[in-house]
Amino acid sequence: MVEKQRGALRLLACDALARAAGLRPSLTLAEARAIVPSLHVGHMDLAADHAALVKIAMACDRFTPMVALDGMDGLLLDITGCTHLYGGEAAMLGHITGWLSARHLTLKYACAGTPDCAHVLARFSTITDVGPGDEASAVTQLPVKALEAGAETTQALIRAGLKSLGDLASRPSQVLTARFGATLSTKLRRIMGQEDIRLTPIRPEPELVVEQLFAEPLRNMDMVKAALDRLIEALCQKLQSLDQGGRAFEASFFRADGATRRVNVESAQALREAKSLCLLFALRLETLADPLEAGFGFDAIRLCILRSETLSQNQRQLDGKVEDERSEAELVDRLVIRFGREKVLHFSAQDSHDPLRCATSVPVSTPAATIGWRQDSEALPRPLQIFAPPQPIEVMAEVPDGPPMRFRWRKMLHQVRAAEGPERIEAEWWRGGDRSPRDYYRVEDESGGRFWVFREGLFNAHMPRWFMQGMFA
Amino acid sequence: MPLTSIHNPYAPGAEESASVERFPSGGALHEIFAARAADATAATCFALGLVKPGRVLWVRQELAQLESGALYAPGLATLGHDPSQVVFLVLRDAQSVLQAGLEAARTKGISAVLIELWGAAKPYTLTASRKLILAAKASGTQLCVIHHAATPAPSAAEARWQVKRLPSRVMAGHAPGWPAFEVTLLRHRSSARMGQVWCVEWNHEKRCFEFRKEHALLSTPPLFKPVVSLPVFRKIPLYRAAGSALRFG
Repeated sequence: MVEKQRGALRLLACDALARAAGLRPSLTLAEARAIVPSLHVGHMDLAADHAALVKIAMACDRFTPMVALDGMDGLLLDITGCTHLYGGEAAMLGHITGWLSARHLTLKYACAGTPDCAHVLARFSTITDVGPGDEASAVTQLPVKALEAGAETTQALIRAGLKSLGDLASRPSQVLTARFGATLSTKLRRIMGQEDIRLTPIRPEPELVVEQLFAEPLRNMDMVKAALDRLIEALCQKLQSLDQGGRAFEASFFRADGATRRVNVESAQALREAKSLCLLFALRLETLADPLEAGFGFDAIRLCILRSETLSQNQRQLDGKVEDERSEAELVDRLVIRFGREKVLHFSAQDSHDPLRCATSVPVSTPAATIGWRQDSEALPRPLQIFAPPQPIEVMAEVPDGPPMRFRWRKMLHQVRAAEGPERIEAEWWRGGDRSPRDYYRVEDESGGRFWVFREGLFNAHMPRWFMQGMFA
Repeated sequence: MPLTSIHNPYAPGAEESASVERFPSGGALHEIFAARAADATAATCFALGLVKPGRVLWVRQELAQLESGALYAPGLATLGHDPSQVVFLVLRDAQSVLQAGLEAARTKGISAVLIELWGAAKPYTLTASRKLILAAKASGTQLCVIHHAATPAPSAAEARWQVKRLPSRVMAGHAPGWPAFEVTLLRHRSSARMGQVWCVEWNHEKRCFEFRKEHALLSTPPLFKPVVSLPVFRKIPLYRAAGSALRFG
């Protein structure tokens, strides 16, 4: 793999055969060709590499939920608390490496107490498994290059006679900090296992997880659905004991060939009824644009709660009111899942005099503003339906700043028989933008059509323009 | 089938009561046809007057929104519905609109479901309407199917109305009056007044439709409120704009 660096095509990565022939990264392509004339080269595609790495990371989710990317070419898996599922650390390591090798991936790996130590061991050592507390002894022989502190610092360390990490560790850390900065000594402490950091997983850690591994991959979709229903029941029981209800659920289907499919379900209200959750998932699976395919079969299904809320037991009132609210929330859930979140809307009131801004339609999942609606008879008449943006019309008025006498809208001529106005609505100057003031008129045409039209602008350099804003009943 | 209604969409003491044709306490399907494409807003308004205010689920076909505009909450509030109680969907094809409507009709706790279709809706068949009615009967929901730019086709609906807008009674000051429609009862399962035509006008004080004799629409109703607030300190000047006689206060 080559890439243009510092004005020359240089090797960036080479395989085992090339290494055996004496090639190494940072060699220019011309030099490499001189050594091995029959060299096969390809251009480096870092974006594709990264995408592939993320895909592998997603697939590794089946081993532990804590998977993080490590630079451009590594993955960190936090297997704390997961080892017993595979019968110990060594067995789990064997399982992971076996699973990845079976997918034609060549890997270098190590298992250690801290992420930094594992990182260093995987790259600079042949040791693969370090017991708790043995990190310091495992890394003493490694060269200072393993600190990855940059060529200059490494050079300076070597000049000072500090060739291995063991040499460095034997010096007082204050001296190192004074000479090379705090970063170096912190890194050293982390590698030696004296300090631990938490991983930031690429996927947020779910709040609650249930999963099922299958001895044999499941290929029958009915069985997959039945397994999912069982998981949902288990999850709902857990929620019940915690007095919680889930708002966002995710089912991950791990296919035997390494593909991972995730299906998300969100609910309008905290939910823990197994029956309705099963229905929601069934509906979601049915309406997937790209249907779930068993292919080689699924070897694991995991169900997570990404977001949850406290949900106390609902007390049913004598008139069954609570029941109604629940079934209504379920309806909204079903509609959202079937038609998409942005299709199911409700009104949100804004404290604004701008007719378009004062009432907006937002998805039901977004809470509406709590300002009430004016329903008193003092409220000015407003149309039932509006056009946003307003549609331009051609208007003929008796006097320039008077109401329209006739207007043409959608190629139809309307003769005005009654008009009321103007109601001047200024733009909200505090929001910026210099929109002209609008003079709104309520007009009625000969056939009884009632419209809300406005004239935008004043009679100055530009002529005002007329628009159709809405329709009264 | 109960012939009286819990909610009275028309004022008590109206000149002519149509209690038979009104909704029973729930679980019926009314079809409302706009007489012409231009009467879309009138048909929508009449449907809103017919259903009980409360939790309303409104499913619209996208074309209806493009043709006659998006729903506007203050306008709904003017017609006596609480906009915060309205959940609406805007969907592309008639099939999805009917699916969503059916889903909503099955749900208890929703007082009315409005289904708005534009053009000849092929999926709205006799079977589809029957399904809607069965669902509404089980849950007690009021169902209104509003057809714009369509001709009536056989269905299992309880009643079928046709709505056409009428010129309103112009208020003093040459202002447009309250919505007025000509409503025709095209068919009804349990009424003998099929084919009868009523003129209805929105009563803003009582928040309901009132029947009117047609000639009554020609007289002038009282003003409902001044447009511009009156000056406090000065004497009220009398503006008389030439020609178009606009009322300023």
